[in-house]
Amino acid sequence: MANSATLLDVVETARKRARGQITLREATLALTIALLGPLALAAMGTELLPAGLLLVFLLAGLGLGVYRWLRQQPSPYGVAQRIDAAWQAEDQISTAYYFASHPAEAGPLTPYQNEKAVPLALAGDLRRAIPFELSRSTYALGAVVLALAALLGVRYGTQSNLSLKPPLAPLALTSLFAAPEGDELRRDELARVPGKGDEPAQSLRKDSRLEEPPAPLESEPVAMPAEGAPTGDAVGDADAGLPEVEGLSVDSEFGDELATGATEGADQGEGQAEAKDVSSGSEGEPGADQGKPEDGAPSEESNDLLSRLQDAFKNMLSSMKMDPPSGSEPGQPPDQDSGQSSPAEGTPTGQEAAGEASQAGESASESEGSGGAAPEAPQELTQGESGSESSGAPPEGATSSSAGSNDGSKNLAESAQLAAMGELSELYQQRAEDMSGEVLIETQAAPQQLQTPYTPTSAGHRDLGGQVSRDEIPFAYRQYVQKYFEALRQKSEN
Amino acid sequence: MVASEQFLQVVTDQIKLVRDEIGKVIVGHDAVVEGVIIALVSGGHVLLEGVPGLGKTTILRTLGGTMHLDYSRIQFTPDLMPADIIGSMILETDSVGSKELRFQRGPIFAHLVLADEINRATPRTQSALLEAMQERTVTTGTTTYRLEDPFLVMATQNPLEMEGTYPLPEAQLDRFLLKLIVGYPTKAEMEEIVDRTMAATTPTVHQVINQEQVLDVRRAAHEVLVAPHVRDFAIRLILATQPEQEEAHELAKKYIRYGSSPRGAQALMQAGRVRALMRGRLNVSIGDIRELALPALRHRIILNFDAHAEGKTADQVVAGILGSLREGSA
Repeated sequence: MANSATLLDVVETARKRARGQITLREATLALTIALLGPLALAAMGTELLPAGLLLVFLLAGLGLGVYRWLRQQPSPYGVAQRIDAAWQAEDQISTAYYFASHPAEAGPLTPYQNEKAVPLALAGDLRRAIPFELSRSTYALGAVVLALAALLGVRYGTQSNLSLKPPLAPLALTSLFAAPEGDELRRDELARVPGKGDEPAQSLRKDSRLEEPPAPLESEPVAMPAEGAPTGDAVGDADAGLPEVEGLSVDSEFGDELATGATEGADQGEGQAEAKDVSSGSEGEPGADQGKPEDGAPSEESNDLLSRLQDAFKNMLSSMKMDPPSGSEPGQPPDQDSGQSSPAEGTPTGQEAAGEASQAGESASESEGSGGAAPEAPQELTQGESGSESSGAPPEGATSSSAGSNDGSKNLAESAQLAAMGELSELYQQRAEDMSGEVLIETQAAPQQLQTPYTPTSAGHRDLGGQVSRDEIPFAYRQYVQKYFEALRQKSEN
Repeated sequence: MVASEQFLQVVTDQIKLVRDEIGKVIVGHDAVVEGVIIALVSGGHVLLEGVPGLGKTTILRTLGGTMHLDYSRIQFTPDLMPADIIGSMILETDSVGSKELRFQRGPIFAHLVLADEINRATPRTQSALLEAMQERTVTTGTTTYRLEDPFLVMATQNPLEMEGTYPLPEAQLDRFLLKLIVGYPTKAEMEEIVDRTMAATTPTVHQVINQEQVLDVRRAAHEVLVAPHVRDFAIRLILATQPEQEEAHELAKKYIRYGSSPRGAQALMQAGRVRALMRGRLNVSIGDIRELALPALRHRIILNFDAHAEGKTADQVVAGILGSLREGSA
């Protein structure tokens, strides 16, 4: 019995050692997972990720660690087998342990076998049987700790504190790549300077790819009609006025985008009016361009707007197959090239449109300021005017028309011209997207018959004289024999 | 059964004595000699396979000479009849002139039976061994005779000269506890063989163990401990060779047509116990199972055509399964 107790003690000691290692390993794993939360927050900031993520990762790591710890608890019998394997004890210790802990199953040789196993157990080194090994989670933990320290270091270096609020990527990009993009950033910053110009104007100037100095401070509304810009619906104006655009005369597809973009710019300038309500009014309102920029307006919004406008204008130019608008009208001042024609240069119709737009914009702004209780008439006027402003510049002297007034004014020459520019098909396509309904195609009724020429063919068969004695091959082996000879044939062919 | 540790030591020494006596005649072939002893002690039968001239018959004949046991040799030929093995009824006249039928026992009635070139006899004659090997009885007419313990059939066959041979049916192969492959000797062993051949004296073998001692060793081996994880390892090994089982190994699914029968697991346990005892251990280890897996299973699995076409042998398949089998279970 003393021998059995000794053996049990040895195995139990080894088991404690194994449990300690498992505990260490799983704790390392749990800590690694728990540190992923701070790592994510250090990278993304609490602006993008909730701070509760810390708790989620902590609980996940804890739960997984406990679950794995419980599952990997070694049994004493298993530990005894590990000892046997490590000491090459031919399963003597595990066998002795098993029959010592299960006396009912013991046989006559059990005491003798126990006597042989105990000296082995006492002579062995448990550190060799249950060696300490660094688990892979330890390396993972080290990597996570290093990454976390690096992120915190970068964060401290960029913002001089360890606040986790802003995302790290913009901070790092701003600090690391400010020099190469300094000009562009300065231009953007200049465009956002209050009182030195309106943002829509800057944005649109950038959209028109004009590598020019910043626009005049007293720039005109963004979507102001150019010389002789008529009023009318967007599609009609786009159809009629595309050849005469100076950079902002776009088709309806992009005119809306420009209008929206300009509206957003105007919104930022005014800081009050919403885009929906003042989509056209703010564009036509000269005063909107001189509005005060909103304090603390997010720069990402303007950047996003900038990129969107840029893409839209690229697409427009590629579809129009036109050069950049800077060369559209030689001799025209840059102000005009940028589509910011002054009201004085516009036709009376354009002035009227601008005036109406400004009125509408003002009314819309007032309606926003008054809690959205704006009358319906100004809003309708605003929407009606918006098309004229976002559209191009129709021929001078054209009367203002309501929506769809120019639908029937297309003649064959204009259509041919548009088709030559590739615009017509796009317009059709644009319209086709909005169309729905059934299409009835009438075809001429005539009897149809598929005729295949008849070709007489003939095949000859001959007996090669081969003999197959199937009786020699059992049915169960036929597929194997077939595979075998196929393999032989392939080898002979090769 | 087991009196003391001293008894165990005596048993171990006796097995060692037999090995040493055989070693006087047989050079090398330690695994084969050990396998034959294992088969004898554990109550099984052994099949030796090898090309001619490697000493298969000599090994078995020498083993018979080391024991005070009845030894008989049957040379299997195609015209050998079952009665030539089990015996036949003869008409005998007694002293007063009366005649009566008497059963004349054949060579099967011995402790050690050497069936030389067993695959040269017809299946009918081979099957005459079936009952004797499995049931340890011989039935002739309406009378059944019981064979004495220990009873060991030691059969040999060679893989060459297959013309005119009758390969043993699977049912009979399964009755052999172990199938041992007799290989070529090494250079040193060859030199020793040549030296002994040229020597003036021929080594003589002494009988060092008798019937009762063999049975004592068998009883002691039967008490050798087998831990659950060792037993589980042997069972998983058998299941891994059965292609239709869920636990089947990929090699088994690919190359084995029929896997090992449960008799394979029994053979592993029985042979493992004797092997452990021969090494002075009182417990079977996984190492014993690994060492005995090839002799115990190579003749119990039937390979499919793919294995034959790719040149795979049963040893390669079993070794592949054995190599990937996980050890240890609680």
